[in-house]
Amino acid sequence: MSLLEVLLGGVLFLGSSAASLLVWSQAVEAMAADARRLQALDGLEAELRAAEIRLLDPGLLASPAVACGELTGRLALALEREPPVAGVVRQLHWPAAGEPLRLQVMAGDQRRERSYSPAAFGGCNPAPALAPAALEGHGAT
Amino acid sequence: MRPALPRPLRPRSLRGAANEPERGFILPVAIGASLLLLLGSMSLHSVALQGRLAHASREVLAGQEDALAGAAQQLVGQLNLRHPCLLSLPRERWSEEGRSCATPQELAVLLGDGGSGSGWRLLDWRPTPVSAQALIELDGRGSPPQPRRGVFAVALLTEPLRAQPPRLLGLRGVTP
Repeated sequence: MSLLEVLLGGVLFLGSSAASLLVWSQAVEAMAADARRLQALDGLEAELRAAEIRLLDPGLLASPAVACGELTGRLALALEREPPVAGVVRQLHWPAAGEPLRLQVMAGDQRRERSYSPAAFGGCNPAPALAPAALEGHGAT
Repeated sequence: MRPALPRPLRPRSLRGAANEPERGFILPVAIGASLLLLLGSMSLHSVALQGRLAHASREVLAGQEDALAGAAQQLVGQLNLRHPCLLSLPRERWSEEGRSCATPQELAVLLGDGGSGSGWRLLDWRPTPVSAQALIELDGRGSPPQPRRGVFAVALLTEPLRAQPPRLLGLRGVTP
């Protein structure tokens, strides 16, 4: 065992230890970020499932005589009936009468969006609709 | 002249060992430990990469599910609003028997054919007296393209005939 051998072995071990630590820290950080994103995606999924359940309310199945704008308002109110799942931000976009109602849910950097056509809920009458002002204050939760 | 006696043999190995410098154990141990550390970190890195890939594919799948659900809502909404006669007809009979409530252009838009730009196609519509099943395919935009199909159940109401909101039964991948 010589001094040269000790030095060489030490340098080799220290270099590989430093490289391994770097890779480990990056891998652990990536796994933690993935876990956070996965949790966010689970929250969004839960929020969308809850929204689907609220929209299954038989009271929302209108007759074709109901104006599409009014039905859109009912859908929006049903979606806003309960607070969103913890950690989830919910936004409703109601572009124009008769247009699909867009539900956006966000958690962290994850985002999902569903659109609901009022006419898909048993049909509706594409007559002049309620003013979107009827839902002011329900736009974002 | 007296022949020279052979010299007694000495083991060469002993003689060689005596001449070689002494080797220590530090270098082999350091090399082994370094290899173990690097192998361990590489395996951890590959696990992290695998998790990231699985997460990315789940994100893509969630986006496709949202797009398919929106397409189904759009389809059923259009059928309820403008083309209720198609609700009771299988898709293959739409082009012939559906003329009473839909023009060929409207049919092309409903089916997602003809470059309507909707991003989806209706592959199948199978009605029974009380329900229907719709098979919708996304056109697989993106790189690489990942076409995806969704099967939806639609309950039908009578008098007048109309459809309830579509329910997603499942997603299917499309083999290229």
